[in-house]
Amino acid sequence: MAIQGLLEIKEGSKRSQHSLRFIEEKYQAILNSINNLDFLDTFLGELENSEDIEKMSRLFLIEVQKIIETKTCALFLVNKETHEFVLQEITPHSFKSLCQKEIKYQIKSGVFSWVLNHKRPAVLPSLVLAKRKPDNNALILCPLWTARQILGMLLVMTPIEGHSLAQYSLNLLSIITRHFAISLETLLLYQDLKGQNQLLKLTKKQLEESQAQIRNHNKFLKQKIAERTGELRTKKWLTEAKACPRRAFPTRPPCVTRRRIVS
Amino acid sequence: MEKSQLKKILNNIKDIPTLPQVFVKLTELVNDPRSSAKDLGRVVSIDQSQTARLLKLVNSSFYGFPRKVASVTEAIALIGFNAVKNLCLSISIFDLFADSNGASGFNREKFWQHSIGCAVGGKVLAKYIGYPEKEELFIAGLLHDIGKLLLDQFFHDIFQQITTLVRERDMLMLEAEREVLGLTHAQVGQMLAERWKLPFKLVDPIAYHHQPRKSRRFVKEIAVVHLADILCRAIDLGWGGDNRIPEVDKESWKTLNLKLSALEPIMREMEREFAEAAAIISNYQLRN
Repeated sequence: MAIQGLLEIKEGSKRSQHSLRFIEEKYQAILNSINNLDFLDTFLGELENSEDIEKMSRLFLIEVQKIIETKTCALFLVNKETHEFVLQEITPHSFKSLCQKEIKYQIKSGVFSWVLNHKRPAVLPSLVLAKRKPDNNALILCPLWTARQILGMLLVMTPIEGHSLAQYSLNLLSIITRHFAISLETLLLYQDLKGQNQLLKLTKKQLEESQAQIRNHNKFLKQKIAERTGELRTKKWLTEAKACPRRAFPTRPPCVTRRRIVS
Repeated sequence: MEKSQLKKILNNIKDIPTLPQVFVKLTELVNDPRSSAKDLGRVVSIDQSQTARLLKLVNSSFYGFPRKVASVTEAIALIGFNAVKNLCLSISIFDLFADSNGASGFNREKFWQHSIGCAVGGKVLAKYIGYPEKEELFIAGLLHDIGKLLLDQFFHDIFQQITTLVRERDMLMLEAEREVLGLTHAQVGQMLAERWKLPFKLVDPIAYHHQPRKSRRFVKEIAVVHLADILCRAIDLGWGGDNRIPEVDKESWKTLNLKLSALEPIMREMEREFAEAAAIISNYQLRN
């Protein structure tokens, strides 16, 4: 009986330990989530403070490297005029031509446009990088998009085997890429607005100058008209004097006012 | 019948289909942020037929991936953890309900066609409103009327009364259900979805696709399923159990922010994709 009781206590203690471990794991997961939120908050703050695309891009790639161990990390942005994906930032620089080639091949294979439409990070086999650098295992392509437009593509080459990448790494990557895309769009809109504002200021200044010129010209014209009117009035008076020499003429010429002519 | 009463009956039905263990394990893994594609792949691969059907789906025009995807882990890395979970869920649900025949005169084949049409509608609308998780809307559309299947399977007599009333008075099934049962298929579906511990993102569209305003969360998802259901009826994709077309909820229409001119291309795309999806899904039923 006593042994039975002891066995039950032992079993109960085992179950409690298991539950405790489960709670600890969940607690740790909550702490990690809070850390991630902090990390995102800091990242957003830094993005807000940067005023040019170069600085933002550099910051973004640094954050990407904090999330996933990378061999190379490249950011391609869409050129507004040509609609091409142009390399904006890469780390390290030695991978520049390889990454450009990789993107070119991915575009040719149709995978690139598939990832863009899919709007989520995709782990893919590399077409160029893995052949040149066999220790690079997985290629991650992550599109930069907002509700209004596609802004670019992030390319990450990681030494970790693609299938072993943890879900949270990909989720976090997706979240910060989305934040970056929104911040980038805001910056582009801000720059566009700033440019338009400057243009507006310039136009306003030109308009003011033109108005001043018109005012001066009007003043000049008024003066001319006054002079001409005086001349004409004198001429008229003289002509009338010549035509009727015996008539009694007013001693003075008529005065021209704004409202009416008073004789 | 009271809601609590039906809940009680539902709880006591021992034969109520349960989702396969593989799906339960898969959900646990997707909820664990530390899991990897390898972990998920290991679980999916336990069921050979599920693996084959999943790969068939990933390689189908639904995803339109330009290369062939050869392994489950590759599929997971490519389309994402949640997408794979949702696909496995749709496969599991077909396994649970597709084979059984209803005895209440309810045409199951046409019913599934309506569900597939609604799923396709969800996917097409996702594209038009820029919603990235198209599988979520696809599965929500596929499951929106799951309550009808449960009623047909476990409450034959009542369901027969409902279908007769619908036929005789040419009314909406929802109204007939309220009259006969005091409950709707949406509520029954909600109970089943909750019992299956499906995510709220799926439970709410099942529960509120006829009354979108009643829910305060997942408004977009519910609005999509609501509109997809109506569009399916408008273009006769399958049969939802009655011949009526309900009114589009104004708030839902506002939520989706669609232009009226977009409806025509949406319906055309739904018709086009329906044929493809129906072909893919008929493969679900061919095990191995």
